[in-house]
Amino acid sequence: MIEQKLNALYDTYGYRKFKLTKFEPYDLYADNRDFLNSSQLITFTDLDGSLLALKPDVTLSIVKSNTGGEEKVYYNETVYRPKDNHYREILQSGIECIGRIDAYCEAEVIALAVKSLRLVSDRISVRLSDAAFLAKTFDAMDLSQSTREEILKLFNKKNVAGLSNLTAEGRLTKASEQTLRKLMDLYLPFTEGIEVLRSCAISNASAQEIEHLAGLRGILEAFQVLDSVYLDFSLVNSMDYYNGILFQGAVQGIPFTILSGGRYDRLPEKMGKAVGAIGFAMNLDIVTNYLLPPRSHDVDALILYDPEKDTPEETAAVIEAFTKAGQCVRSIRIDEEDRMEHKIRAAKRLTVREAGELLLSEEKKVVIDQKLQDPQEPDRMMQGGAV
Amino acid sequence: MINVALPKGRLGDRTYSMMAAAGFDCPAILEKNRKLTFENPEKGIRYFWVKPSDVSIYVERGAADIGVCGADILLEYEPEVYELLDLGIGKCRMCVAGPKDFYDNEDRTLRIATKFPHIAGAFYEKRGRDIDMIHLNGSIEIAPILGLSDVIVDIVETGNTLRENNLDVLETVVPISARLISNKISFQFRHDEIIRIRDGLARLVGNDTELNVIRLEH
Repeated sequence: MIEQKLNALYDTYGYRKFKLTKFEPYDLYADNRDFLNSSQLITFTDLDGSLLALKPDVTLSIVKSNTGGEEKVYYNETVYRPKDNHYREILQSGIECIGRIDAYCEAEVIALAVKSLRLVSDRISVRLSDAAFLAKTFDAMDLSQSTREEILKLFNKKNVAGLSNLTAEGRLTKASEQTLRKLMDLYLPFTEGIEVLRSCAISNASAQEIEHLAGLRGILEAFQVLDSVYLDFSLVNSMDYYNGILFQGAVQGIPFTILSGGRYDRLPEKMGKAVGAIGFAMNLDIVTNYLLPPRSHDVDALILYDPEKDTPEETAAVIEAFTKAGQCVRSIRIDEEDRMEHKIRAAKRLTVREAGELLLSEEKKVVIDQKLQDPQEPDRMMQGGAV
Repeated sequence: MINVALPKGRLGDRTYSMMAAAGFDCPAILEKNRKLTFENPEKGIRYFWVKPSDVSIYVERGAADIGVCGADILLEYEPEVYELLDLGIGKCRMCVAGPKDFYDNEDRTLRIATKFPHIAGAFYEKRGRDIDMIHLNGSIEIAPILGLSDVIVDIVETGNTLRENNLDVLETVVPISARLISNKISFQFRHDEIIRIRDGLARLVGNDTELNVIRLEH
């Protein structure tokens, strides 16, 4: 359901549906290992001996197929990734915008991320960070590669205590610690966040990045998504995948990040394409798992027929009458009820005779509907034959 | 309502005492009964006790919005949570310990018994020392005595157990203290409440002597 809603949203903004094959040549992933979360893949040999892999990622395939033109695409695909020592099939939905990426493109993609989340829940947030700004800030602080990596890890945990340790070890100056502390602690609505950020600019280069971010404000407002966007530098940018803005989305009620994306110009560059790119993906499995309300029952009525009392024709007629009335019914031989492979939860449990009487007494189908869905009638768990 | 996972034991008592001193008290927790969760609707807070090593699991999966656990657990399991504050309590050290006169002969693979294979592994990998990891679940000190391992990597508070068994601290791996942790999504949707708690606790950090520790039944 959510899939259709998302597709409709992306269609509205003119994104084209991208359909992929299930597998790609192994080399695509081997050559671009830096852009994958894990190097573990499900591989197999094709009939001609070439090595193939089930796709762990959609973005690589989309960028690979691009020949340098501008395009906007969306997809719903299953990807295969390791999780907890096992391969998992994950349903992803997402968009990619490839070409000359300007502020408008960035804001449009962020706006679509917000609108996607709004289809899932009323209370949502998109957190936005900027890898380029952090890199320029670290440049100005003249930090070594290993210190940078450690600081990014601390940012990811909002671990302020860890920063003090680095200062104590002499790897950070007191002034740098103060600036980083402010950035680490930052979690503010976009507009207010930009103001705080301006007070953290410690070089011309980092100030430029802030102004780039500030430039998105008006566009996000015009897209009517500004109130859902927050600044927060605790987002992870694993393997330097993103080179500019990056963002993650969450909704209340799901304790995990369900959407992530950002600007990833390095991938097309590595593939020798003179384009920029930005996109995001959303994990639909988590969404459906957490947000689908559990069903109160599997069928509206369980109809028990007794082969010695009821003729098959009578049973068929009763079943047909119920389905015509828009009811879901499950038929079962009365002596098989205890042996059902899957015990069914039904709103009503009726023998063919009872069902027939019900149909007779309530000539109008509408009335049957009401009776079956009578809120006064408690749902009964049909565990075995115990009723 | 903010859900708070507290670690059973002394650390939990101290943690709750700090929370109470910061204004997030919950009288229900003092009553003797078999309840598993304790609420103070007025303060919008609910506490529950869990095994210390499980606190980060409850928080990572959002069953608790915040919790308190030792840095050892965070280093060992690397849960996806925010580490908002060093509470300055439950202080101890992660150490390498072994026989007093232990000499590390580098020709041999070093046998290490520990409850923290991830921390121990990372420590020795950094030095390029070849090790044989023996993962135990408790009573680690007995391993070098019986010759199961050469040394152990474990938490040392006072060092009394070690000394009584002719063992000694050989090296400190990392200092440990209790941390306030938060679920990353709760941090967004319950931001103001969580920051209020963090700042309330931060004012108490270091004022250990003034803290009136409440003994609780777990």
